Amino acid sequence: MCTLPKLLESLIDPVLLIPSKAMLAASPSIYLARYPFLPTTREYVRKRGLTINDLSSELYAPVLRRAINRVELAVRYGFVNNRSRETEVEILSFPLAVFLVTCISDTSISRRYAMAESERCCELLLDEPNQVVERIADDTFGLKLKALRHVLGTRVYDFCLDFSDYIRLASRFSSPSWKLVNKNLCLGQVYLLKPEAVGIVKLHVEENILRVINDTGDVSPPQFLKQYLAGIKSIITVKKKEEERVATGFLLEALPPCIRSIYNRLVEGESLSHFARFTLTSFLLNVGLTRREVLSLFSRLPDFDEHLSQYQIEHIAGGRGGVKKYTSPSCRTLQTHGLCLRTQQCLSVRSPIKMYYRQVRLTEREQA
Amino acid sequence: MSFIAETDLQFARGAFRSYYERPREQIEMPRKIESREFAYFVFEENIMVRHLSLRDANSLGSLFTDRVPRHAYYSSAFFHSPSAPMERKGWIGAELVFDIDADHLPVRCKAEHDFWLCKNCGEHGPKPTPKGCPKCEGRVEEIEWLCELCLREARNELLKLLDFLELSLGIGSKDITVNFSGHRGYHVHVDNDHLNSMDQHARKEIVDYVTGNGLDVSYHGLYLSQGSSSLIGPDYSEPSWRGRIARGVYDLLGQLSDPSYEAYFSENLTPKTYRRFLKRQEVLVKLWSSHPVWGAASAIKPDDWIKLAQLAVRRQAANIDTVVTTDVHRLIRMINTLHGKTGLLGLKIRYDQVESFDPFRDPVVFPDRPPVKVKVLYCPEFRVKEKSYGPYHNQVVEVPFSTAVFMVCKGVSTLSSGR
Repeated sequence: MCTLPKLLESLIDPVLLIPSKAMLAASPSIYLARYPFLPTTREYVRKRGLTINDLSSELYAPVLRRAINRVELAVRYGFVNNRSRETEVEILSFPLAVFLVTCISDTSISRRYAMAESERCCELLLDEPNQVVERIADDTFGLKLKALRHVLGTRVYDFCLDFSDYIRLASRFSSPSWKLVNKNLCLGQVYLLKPEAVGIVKLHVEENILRVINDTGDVSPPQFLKQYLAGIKSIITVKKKEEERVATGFLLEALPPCIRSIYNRLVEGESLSHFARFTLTSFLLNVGLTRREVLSLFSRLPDFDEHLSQYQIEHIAGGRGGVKKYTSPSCRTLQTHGLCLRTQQCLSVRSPIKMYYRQVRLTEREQA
Repeated sequence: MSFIAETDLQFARGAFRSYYERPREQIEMPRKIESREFAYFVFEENIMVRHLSLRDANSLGSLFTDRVPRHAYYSSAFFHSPSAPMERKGWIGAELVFDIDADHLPVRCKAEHDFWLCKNCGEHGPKPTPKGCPKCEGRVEEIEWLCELCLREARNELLKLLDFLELSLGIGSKDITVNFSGHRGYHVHVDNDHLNSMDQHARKEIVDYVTGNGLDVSYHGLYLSQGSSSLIGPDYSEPSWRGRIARGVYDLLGQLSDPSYEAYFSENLTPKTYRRFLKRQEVLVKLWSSHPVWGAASAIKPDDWIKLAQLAVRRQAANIDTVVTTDVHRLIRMINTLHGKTGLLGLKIRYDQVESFDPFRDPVVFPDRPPVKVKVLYCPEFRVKEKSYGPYHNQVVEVPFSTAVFMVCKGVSTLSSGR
């Protein structure tokens, strides 16, 4: 039987098990509950000597409820809320939730859970003093983030990190602002604002949770957990169906013929002209897709260049260098470029965006 | 590149052998020799012998005296089994390697001194290279020549790179080895256990940093202030790319009125922007002399300044061969070994002597005596040590031994029967 301490043990590198005495002395259980992956949490749970089966007792019902709640929130909303005042429940429910996700054995769910937990952590870390962020990064991940105050031009930086540690992760970030060439780098140190430093810790948290789930591999859940797992799985099924319907955040059936044609060509992996790419990108960004979602769609193209696509998407999405967000080209512009596929459906609309929203309303009405 | 006659090959091979047999001559012993792959070309065949592993300095020395390599390489990578096929070598890590090659630099002289040569009649001409000699239909070959300007440009790029490595990346000089390639450039090896484990993606970030690829000036303190719409920019003394951008713009302002840069500016700035700057050049240089005055001269729009800053980025970037640095399995020329195309040594350069290094003098290792008579098909002017030679065309000349090795290895001369 997998014990909780064992599970927690694998969440952290044993070499880095240096309990943060100062942190514990200040307000120990709060930190353990907020950051249940901390080395000190392992010590805490070890002392409890609990096994998974012990949690079937009524005494631990709140722990089980919270663990299920953690997973369900992650699946439904991609976010886990913070309840660190209920410290005992928070501490024990985390490894149990990781165990539940391991039992589900679905890569996309594992990723979603790891991301949601790291997101929760990120929000809390942003409110912590910089020294606490530094300590957590070092104690838990061996990440040598150094809290400081460094003024450069009009900016005040809160942290620095050795460039070699920074670039090992930088390829995971999609925005050009994360590229080393766009950072302030001096004598091997990359200077970071607090949200950037916390973003790096967040990535470590996410990777760590994922590694535990993957390393644990196949586990068979004890009897008392099976009904709860069945409940979570049914939520996953519903969620996945929903996602298929709205295909990465937009209603596929509502796409106007011109955009649908470009989209189909993209899905097929056909090469697209620059203007077709611009049209599709600006359209999708305007109907609510995130930059990351658009980037992942473009990754299907045979000539996909991640950095270039990122740059173009960022540019079209606006916000960089004072550039405004681009609107999607009008029907008339699309006609000029030979991309208009006007059908009777289009009637008198002047832009694909308007056509899309009209179709969305019609579809929703039909479904109602 | 081939020798004109078999006797030329034997002459060069003999010279290389005599060098490698000199007891005092030390080939730079690579760190962790047992984890490296070694490879070489011999004189007789144009085939690379690779997947070799060597245990120590003795086996390394024997390789050179027994096989007399025309070119010798080792892997920048460290492997568990260096002699195994690539997929089973077991990658441990790799030095961070940079290659600066005049071939990749936009030097103007290149078109003037790279040429094709008929190995039969000595007919020659600038590129493009014909399939056969237009005069005698003999075999033609492309010759890349070494010139002072090319190598000076390469050294400038090297100095920029070293500046990035030291001041930005914080890499200490004890971890950096610089060597002349033996031909048209320089190599830089960074050997540091912490950096050696970086993967291709991480190395790509370093490449992008030193080449300025993907650099957005707005992240380096150059932007329009909100509200007043005035241009805010970095100062000369600021670290990292910020200071480089400011200093680069000042350099460009000084060159605006230089007629030799007119085409360069028109092409890279658009003619209109160039004229706007040119008209106010004197005032701007004066204003910028103590500290940058971004947005000076109302007729010059903020966008123009940003264009000039982007141009400064390109000028301040180090022009390296990006493929070499991102390749974590690269074979690279062994330091302090002879280059088969020139007979020059791929000499390790002391860190404090990079600026004074003379690629036409310092890596010449062969003696001057005995003098050798060679028939030169064609070669442009060149220098060995302090003496200039050529241009020569279909003539027999007597030159010092070291110069003869260079001319024979370059494939432009053959030993004269009257030697």
